[in-house]
Parts: sequence; structure tokens; C-alpha cells
Amino acid sequence: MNKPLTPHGPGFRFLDSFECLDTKGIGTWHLDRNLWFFKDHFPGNPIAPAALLMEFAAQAAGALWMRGCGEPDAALFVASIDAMRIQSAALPDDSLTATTTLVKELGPLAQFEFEITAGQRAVAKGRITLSRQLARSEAG
Amino acid sequence: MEKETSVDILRTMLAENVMLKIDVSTISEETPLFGAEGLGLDSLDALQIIIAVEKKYGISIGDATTARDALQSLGVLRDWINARLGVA
Repeated sequence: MNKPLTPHGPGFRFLDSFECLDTKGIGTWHLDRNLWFFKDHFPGNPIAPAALLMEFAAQAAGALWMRGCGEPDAALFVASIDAMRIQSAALPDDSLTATTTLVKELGPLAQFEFEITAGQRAVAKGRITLSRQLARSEAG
Repeated sequence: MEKETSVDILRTMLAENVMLKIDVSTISEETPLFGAEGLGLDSLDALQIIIAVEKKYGISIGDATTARDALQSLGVLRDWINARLGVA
């Protein structure tokens, strides 16, 4: 059995494969039409939720960061969704590719740019910041 | 790349990159960017500002200590950037 590409449990892993090409990380996710969210998002009109596309990009960015650091098992957390634009719907049977690039790393934080495509079709793009530390509210 | 900066330019940069709770025009060059006595920005805000500075001026801020020193206030940041741009 292959080792998981991220620390997530099996129900929340969205990377089928991952590889580093130069400074970029390339993750793939095949949207099997039987995936749990298609039935209700939306009934009769299945579309992959934008929140899960973001999570897919975050997992690809995390895999890139951890392999670059030589810590493939470290837990990372989403600290900020800095920008995200949906360019087309991600549909059942689409095979998605998330291409991630490290913009800047500072202390426990790193910002990444990402692009998600389905073949030649642009699906989403944006910027996301990951943290090695779980955010805690100072006011709480 | 820009050749020189000012507090007005940095106010605009702040407004474009950070979710401020106050009108940016009320921020003086001495207002601390971090801490309860100042704007209360956090490390995520610092990262956003650093990325914006690098894109606009081509100046790299490579570590957290340098970032803390340069981001004390808009006046300090202006002087820090201009010194690296060779502006007297």
C-alpha cells in the first residue's frame, strides 16, 4: 500500500498523485462521478464545490512545501485564502491538475500561487497561505 | 521597479494588502503596525506586506528578524526601503 501524500485521513485526501518539477508542485485529482459530494452539490447538476477545489490546491501546496523542507510528514494548516477565482465548473469525470508555486516563505508561513486545470481548461486560480502552526485567536 | 517610496505610497500598499479596521488616512508614519498600541497587524499581514514590497521595489526581506525591524511603522518601512534603493 502506497504511503499517503498528505497527513489527511482517507476521506479528506484529494491528491491522487504529486510530483515536483523544478520549483513547481504538480498534484492530480480525478473527480470520480461517485464522489460523495456530487449527489447533493447539486441534485441533477453535479459540480465540485469551490471549497474542495481550494482544499485540493492547499494539499498540493503543502506537499510542495514539505518536500522542499525535507519534512514530508509534517502537518500544515491553511492560514489564509488570499485570492481565488473560479474560471469554469469542475465536473464529474474531470481529471484535475493543481500547479503550485512558492511565492514567499517567512518563519512558519508560506504563500503559494496555484492554478487548477482540467486538461486545457482553466478551472481556478489563486493564492493561499499555509502555516506550520495552528492559528489560535489571541482575543479568545 | 519603483525607485523611491513615501509614507503615502505605503499607506496605499497597506490598504490594498491588509484588512484594516480603520481609515488608512488616519495612520501616521509613527503608528506602530503591530501590537495593541498600534494597528494590531499579525504575522499573516506582515507576509502580505513583505510580498507587496518585494514585487514593487525588488527588495527581498528574507527572515523574520529583518521583517520585524523593517515593519515597525510606515515611517521606518519608508526609510528601510529608501536606504536599500540608495535614496538619501
